[in-house]
Formats: sequence, structure tokens, C-alpha cells
Amino acid sequence: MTSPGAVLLEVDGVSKTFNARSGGLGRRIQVAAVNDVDLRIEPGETFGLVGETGSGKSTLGRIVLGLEAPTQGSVRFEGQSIGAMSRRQLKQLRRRMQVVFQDPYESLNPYMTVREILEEPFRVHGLYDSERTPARLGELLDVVGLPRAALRRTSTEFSGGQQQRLAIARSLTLDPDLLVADEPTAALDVSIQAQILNLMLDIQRARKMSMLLISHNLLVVRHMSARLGVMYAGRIVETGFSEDVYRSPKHPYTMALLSAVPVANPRKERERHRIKVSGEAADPASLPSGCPFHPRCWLAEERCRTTRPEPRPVGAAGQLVACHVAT
Amino acid sequence: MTGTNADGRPVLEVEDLRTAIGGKDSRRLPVNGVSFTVSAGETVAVVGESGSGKTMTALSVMGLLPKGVAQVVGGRVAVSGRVISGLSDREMQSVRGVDIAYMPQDPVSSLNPALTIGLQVTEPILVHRKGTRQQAEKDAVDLLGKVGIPDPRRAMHAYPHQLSGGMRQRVLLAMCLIGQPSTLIADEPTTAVDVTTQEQIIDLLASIQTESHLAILLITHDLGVVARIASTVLVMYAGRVVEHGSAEQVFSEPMHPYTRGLLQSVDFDSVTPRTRLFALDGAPPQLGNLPAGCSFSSRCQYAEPVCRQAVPELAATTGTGLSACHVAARGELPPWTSTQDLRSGT
Repeated sequence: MTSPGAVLLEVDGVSKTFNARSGGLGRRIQVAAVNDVDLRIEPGETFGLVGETGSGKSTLGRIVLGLEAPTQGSVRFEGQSIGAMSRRQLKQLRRRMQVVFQDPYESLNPYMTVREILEEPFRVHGLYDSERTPARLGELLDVVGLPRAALRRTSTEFSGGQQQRLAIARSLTLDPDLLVADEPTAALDVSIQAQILNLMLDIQRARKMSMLLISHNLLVVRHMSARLGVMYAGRIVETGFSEDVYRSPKHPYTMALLSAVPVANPRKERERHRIKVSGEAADPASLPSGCPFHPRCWLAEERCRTTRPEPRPVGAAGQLVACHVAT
Repeated sequence: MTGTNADGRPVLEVEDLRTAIGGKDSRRLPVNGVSFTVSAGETVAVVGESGSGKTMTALSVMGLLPKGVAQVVGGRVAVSGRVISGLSDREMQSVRGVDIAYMPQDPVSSLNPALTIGLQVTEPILVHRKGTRQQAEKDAVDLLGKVGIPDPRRAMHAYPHQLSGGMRQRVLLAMCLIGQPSTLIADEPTTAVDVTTQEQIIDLLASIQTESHLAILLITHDLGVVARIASTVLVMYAGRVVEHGSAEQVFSEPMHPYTRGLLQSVDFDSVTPRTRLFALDGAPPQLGNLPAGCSFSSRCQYAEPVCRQAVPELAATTGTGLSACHVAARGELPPWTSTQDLRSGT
């Protein structure tokens, strides 16, 4: 257990550059997927990361989980640097950090029964107890709203929403302190999305677990997270309390992102103020100089083209915005 | 806004369309008595979740159902007054792309990864408009420019993987426009792209529609996109149309419990952050295993004994639209004031 007030997870100046080749056999290029990111998550807090394809949000999630080593910077869990951990320490850490991915079809082994899927984490960590574990599996299924009879079946016998419930149950087997959820509802139908979000809210509240929620859906992130960060071209361009960022976005990209989300109401939709940005998201293989958003930004000035803006306080308390112009 | 320029002339007419998976007598009907019309300049949206039959409806209209798997077993489809249901494959070839074009869901698998964009756009131009290759290439560049591809001359030499998702979607749209069809079926055109790009694609569809009076059948699960560009909405559930009305009505006074549930489950604005959202219980039923009576009855908070016995017909309600609901037909669906009111009861 973590002491109250302490920071559970700290990400400091983390960058990740991948080596690649352009067009398969082309020249060597460097892809800057994550670029100098800071973030902290407190015990029991949900932090949301929102961004579009290629913004670096999933890479950042993998770095937090220790699945990917940062090129620069450090990730600390309860003050301990993940990069400096031995294999044994890392294995210990993995008990305390779990992940739920977007696609349950791909993240659950179709040949394993639900019982095998849920027992595996206990076995891997040498925690299997022939008396206590079976009872625990039943409780886990209760928590995620699956029938206990599911234990004898394979995951393929379940619908997408039920499979995601199963993936969540698996992530909870070892009572993690941090859950990384990478697009947990993106593959699900609208009527199922709300069920899964409600389940995650209930679990998080009951267990006082921290969560890093990664999503392209600003409305989902805002609903679920106390604080959020908006990623663009590998950087967190704006961060703050979700309500502040949602009600009064300060970074032009956040404004554009918010204004692009259609509202399911034709009247509201027509009256809504819309900001249209031209062009497409910056290519992490050839980032523009200065602010990565400047080629699409209607407020860009000369300094935006030359100097990269660092996060600075703008707007509400705790709101940080990486923009020269934002006020 | 689009939709306002519809001139009332139905271009696409679909009547009691039925499609079966398996043999002719199969009871698995992914499309089960679907009827609607789309007029020139009008956008009609088909909304529904996976397996509701929206794409199968599109493929049935286009005569593109997977052979040996599914077949149209009833109903009538007409484009610009000409009946196209029952035409042979060969006859359909002169309809597809010319009278009615289909923009498939996935721009990645719909383009040939081994051929340049130029070749893939030029070939159909040569087929549709007789002329020289040089002229066709010039037309292709024009068309790519028209759908908003920057530097279309350069894009001609690119392979699909070198383009972003949004650009590939634009290429598909360009290909659909080659035969100057009167009707376009756009299947989830915004699903594979990011939200800022999504907006550009919708604006592009709208501007092309304004220019050419295209009738658009938009297939989507995204209610926000529907609210933005559709004038008429069909809500599908388990192969049937359960609600049919103007976008205005369907969003402001939904008359089917399923539509209400869908709208509520994405209504983040009227829920306090970090509290439970309204959620429909259960999951959509499997086609082979539909509940008796109304397919939605097992998930419906208003269901009565009659709902588990008789299939409700799509019929007029107290509102302006049509709804396939026994409770709504009797005018006994509670008024839809705001989602807040409904939620307080749960």
C-alpha cells in the first residue's frame, strides 16, 4: 500500500525514439514517438491521456508499464526508477501494474478456458493456492458481472463486451495499484461502452486503484479522469483538471480537438462553434521545427516556427500549456 | 447544412428488403423487411451496432453480398426509377459506379497495396469514360484535387501505405465519383480516421453533395456524425428498422426505447463526471437466436408481455416518426423530456 499524499507514478522528461526505415527499404529515419513528457499519478487517481493516432499515447503507456525502455528520462513507481530495477524487482512490479488493451479478441488466448486465463497470473507469480485461488476466481467474475459458470468456457464463447469484462477481471487478479487501460472501449459497440466504463468506475472506486486511461475519445477521458493530458506529436501539449481543460481549453490543439467532437443532437450540433484545422497530424518521422502544431495552427507566430514551447501555467490552477500564444 | 437541399425526388427506393444467410428458407435474416428512400441531395443515415444489418443492407442494395453465404430473398430496390433488384451480375456491373456507388468501410483493405494511386484511379476512368490514357490521367489528377488531396500529381505516384487514413478515404471517394453516380452509399466513412480528420471528411461529403445533388446513404454507428449531416435517420436493430424519422425528431423525441438507450449511453454532458452513465443491459441478440416478439424486449425497460409474443410493426406514433414498438404505438412511451429525468428512475 502506498502512503497517502505520495505520488504513485512519476514520468520525468521521457522520450522514445524508434529507428525505422522509410518505405520498408528506404533510408534510415528516426521516429520520435514520445518527446520529453512529464506526468504524475497519485494513489487512487485516474489520469487520462487523450490524443489521435500517432500522438504517442500508447507508446507512453508501454513505457509506463516497463514494456518499452525510454530513450531518455525516467519512470519512477513509488519513487523507484523502473529503469534501474533488476529482473526480480521488475517482476514484483508487474504484480502491481496491470494492463487492459483495446482488443479483447487479441489479448485473450482463445484456446484457454476462463479458469486458465484467470489462474495464470497467480501461477506466474507463484501465488497459486489450491484452497484460496478458486474462491478468488469466483469473486472476480462477480465483480466484473460474468456468471461463475463462465470458468469452464473459452473466451471465444463470449461477446466483445463480455470478453473485455474478462480482460478486466484478469487485470485485477493480483490486486494491482495501477491499471493502464489502453482504449478499453474503442472496439466495443456504443451500448456496451457505457457498461464497461461503469464497471471501471465501480472497480476503481472500490479498490482505490490508480488508473492511466488512454483514449482517442475526449468525452470518455473527461468523464473518467480527474486530470488529463492532451498529446500531440509525442508531447503533452496541455494538462490539468479534466473539467478545467474541458470547459476552458487553452492550447489551440485542445480547442480544435474539442470542437471536432460532434454532439449527438442536431440542434446543438448546428449552433456549436467549430474550429476547423487544416492538414493532418504531424508525422513523428519528420516533426516540424518549433511547436509541432504550428503548421496547422491559426494563431502561429514567428517564434512558434523556431522555438519549441515548454509547458507553462495558463488558465486554472494546475493547468499547464505548451504554447507561446495561449493566454 | 446538408439535407436542406433535398429536392424530394427519390433516387434510391428500397422496399421490404429481405436478405438471408444460408439457404432461401433460412431464418437468419440480417436484413428483415427494410424500407426507405433517399432523395437527390438528401443524406439518410442508417444507425446501428455491429450485427444490426446496416452493412448487409448496403451490400444487398449493391448486389455485393458474399456468394454462397447470403442472398436477397425478397423486396425491391430501384435507382432513378429503374428496378435493380434481381439483375444479373453482368447487368449490375453497368449499375454499380454509374447509378450507385459504394464506398467501403476500410480504406486499407479496399485499395490494392501493390499499385499506385494513379493506376487505381485511372483504370476505372478508362473503363467508364472512353478516351486516351493521357486524358484519363488528367481526369484522375482533377478528381484527386477535387476530394482535397494536396499535390494530387504527386499522390498519383504514391502507394496506399504512403498515405494517411484520411487521404486513403479521400481516394476511395474520388473513385466513387468517377462514374458520376446519383447515389452514394458511404459505409462508416469516418470510423477509420481521427476526429479532426473526420470533420474534414464530413465537410467534403457535404460540399460534394451540394455541388452534384448526390443522394447519400450514410452507414454509421456514430450518433454525433449523424447529427451533423443526416436529415433522415433509420435505426436498425437485429435486422429490422426500429425507428425511422427526421434527424430532428429522432434526436429530440426518440420514439423507440433502443434509440433512447443509445442516445443516453453517449450523453456524457448530462452526467456528473466520474459517476455511472446510463447503460443498456445485455448485448444485441445473435441472429440465430432472436428472442420471440420484439428483438429488443430482453433489454427493454418498458417491455410488457405482448413484447415477448408479437413482433411490433414499424408504425406511426404520437410523434412525427415511425417506431416499431408496442408501447410507443399505444402512445404510452413516457415523454422524452431530458435524459436526466429518465436516469433518476434507475
